[in-house]
Amino acid sequence: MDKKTKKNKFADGSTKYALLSVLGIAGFFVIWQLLVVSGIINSKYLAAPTDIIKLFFVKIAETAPDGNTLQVNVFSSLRVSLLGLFTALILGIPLGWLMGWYRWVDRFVTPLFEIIRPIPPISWIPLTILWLGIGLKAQAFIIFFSAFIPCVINSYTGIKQTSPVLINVAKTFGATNFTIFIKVGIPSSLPITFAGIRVALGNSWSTLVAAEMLASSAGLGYMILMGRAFARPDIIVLGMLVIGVIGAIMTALLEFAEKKIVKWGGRTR
Amino acid sequence: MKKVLAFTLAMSLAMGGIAGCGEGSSSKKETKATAPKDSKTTWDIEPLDERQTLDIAYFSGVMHSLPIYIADEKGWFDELNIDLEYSSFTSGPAMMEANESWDIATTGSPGVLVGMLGYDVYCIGNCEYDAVLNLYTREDSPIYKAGKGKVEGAEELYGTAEEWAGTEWLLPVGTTTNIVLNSTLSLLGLEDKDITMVNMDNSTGFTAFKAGEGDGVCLSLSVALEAEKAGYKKVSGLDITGDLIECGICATADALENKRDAVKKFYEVYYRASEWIADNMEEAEGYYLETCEIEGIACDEETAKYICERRNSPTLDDVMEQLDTTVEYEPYTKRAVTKAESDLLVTLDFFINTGKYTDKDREFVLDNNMFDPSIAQEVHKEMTEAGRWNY
Repeated sequence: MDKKTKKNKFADGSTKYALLSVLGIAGFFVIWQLLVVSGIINSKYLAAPTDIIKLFFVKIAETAPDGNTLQVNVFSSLRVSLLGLFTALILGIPLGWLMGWYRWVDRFVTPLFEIIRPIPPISWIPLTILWLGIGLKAQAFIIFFSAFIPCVINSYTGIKQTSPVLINVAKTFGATNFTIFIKVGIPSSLPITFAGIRVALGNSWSTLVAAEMLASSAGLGYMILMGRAFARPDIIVLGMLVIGVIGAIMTALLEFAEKKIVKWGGRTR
Repeated sequence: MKKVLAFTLAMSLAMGGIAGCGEGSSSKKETKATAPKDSKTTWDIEPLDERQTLDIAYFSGVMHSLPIYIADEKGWFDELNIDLEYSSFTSGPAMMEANESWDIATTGSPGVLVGMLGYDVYCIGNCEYDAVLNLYTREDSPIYKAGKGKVEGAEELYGTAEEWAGTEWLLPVGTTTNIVLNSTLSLLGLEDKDITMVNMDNSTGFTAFKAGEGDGVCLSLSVALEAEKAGYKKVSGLDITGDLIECGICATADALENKRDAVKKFYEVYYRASEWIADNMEEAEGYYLETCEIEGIACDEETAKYICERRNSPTLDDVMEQLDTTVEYEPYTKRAVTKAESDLLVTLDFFINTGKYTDKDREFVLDNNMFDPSIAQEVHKEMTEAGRWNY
């Protein structure tokens, strides 16, 4: 890389901002460590980051106290969360688009949607047990509810904000309403739709503990519950951190996908 | 002008909201009179000099909470200048987590251990031995169909290892029903890895079982009897495995330091109430039914009678004997272990053997005297000096 490129790279601030992000995270962990090591926070109530890191490696081989290794719990949680999330994406996004484009769909679905929307996902647990029993389907259903709402809302909002200029140009070229919906409305809505997917991803991952309270024998939420049952706040924090890190990785992957897809959709603007 | 008006309205709304959230200025908290020190009390216990509040972690629907309710209803705390504030719980670990909000609690041994190991909570006495912890299957279950009496020493246990292996059980993992299930597996020559345990609390587990989930369910107390009335079949239980599962009275370190006198008086009244229950079973059944109704636990007269009849609670004399008796306990040799401690250690040993706790946890409990006999000993001394020790 020549000096000019290096200078430009630094001048645009990307390296500087990346460094700031790293410093932010590192600073947080350093402060946490100091608070515990100095005794300001009792280590019984909050384990130090170094202890959590050690526990991470121990838990890869150890099954205590929940009966599973960390990777078994991670896989179990990913299975539940992704099933619920993808079901929400597959059902929620097209529904939002249709509601936003076709007035009759909007009028038909919106009243029911507005009633269901404020209901917290965990309040579905008793009925879920009766309808779907326990196990993967039931847990994924709870996750589905938390992810479904933002998918619908954002895809609806996104397609509603399609530029009238683009619609009129398409009409001028003789496009049918359905063609405009597919070739103009949907691509135009993608930035806001992806924002909804990001929210749905966060919701699905954060609802995990509630879903695994339903009935489980594995998973990060189950691991946290067992940490609680056996006075292991270190297990609880490890579970929370792993949930957070995996959530961040999934968000980064989503952003990568968004750059590729929306870049393609953005060409119509 | 419009902006001023809008601001005024917004501030009025905000102030109204804040005022509405607080206590009404017209309502006054009822202040009870402080009973004089020389006033006659039910158990001849001297009242506190000044009125004091004890925050109680109340375990809903269980027998070891009943003495607290009865004593409170009969005014035995009030006459000692003790007010009780209750927080209800249905789980020992959750109760221990919330230890900042209470002074005294009664809970099963798994909860006691969580408190000792995680939250600086001390066990100050054994208040009951668990009963009515049962395992149920459906009538068409291979376990039930195999019949009972196939396991030597456990004639009431249904099935053999063959029927039990590979089954799925709904239960609150890490609680007393978990102990009974594991003991059942031991009798069959199985381990917990030979079955699947799905973590669900009592009521939710029974709902799921009724909906067709799982091969069996582990239930306690009134929910267990509900299962029997619904036609499900008891295939094992605490009375079959013979486990000794202690329930303990716990106190926080803060309460032991700052409310010690109130804790001691509570302690004595608790055991007096417990002994009163044994002598007045019919009336106690009514109180038990009352507490279940208040706490939203399903119960009827028949269930209340069944549960109360199976109550197994020590007297204060039994507690002192347990504290004065030492037993052989191989895993720990730094000092003598009392009978009271060893009863609690039965549960800890079970959890160590199943990988939930470690030997270090056992050492912590015993090295730090997390089973604190001092309250019992001080109460015994005071009762003896006052001539109230009538055992």
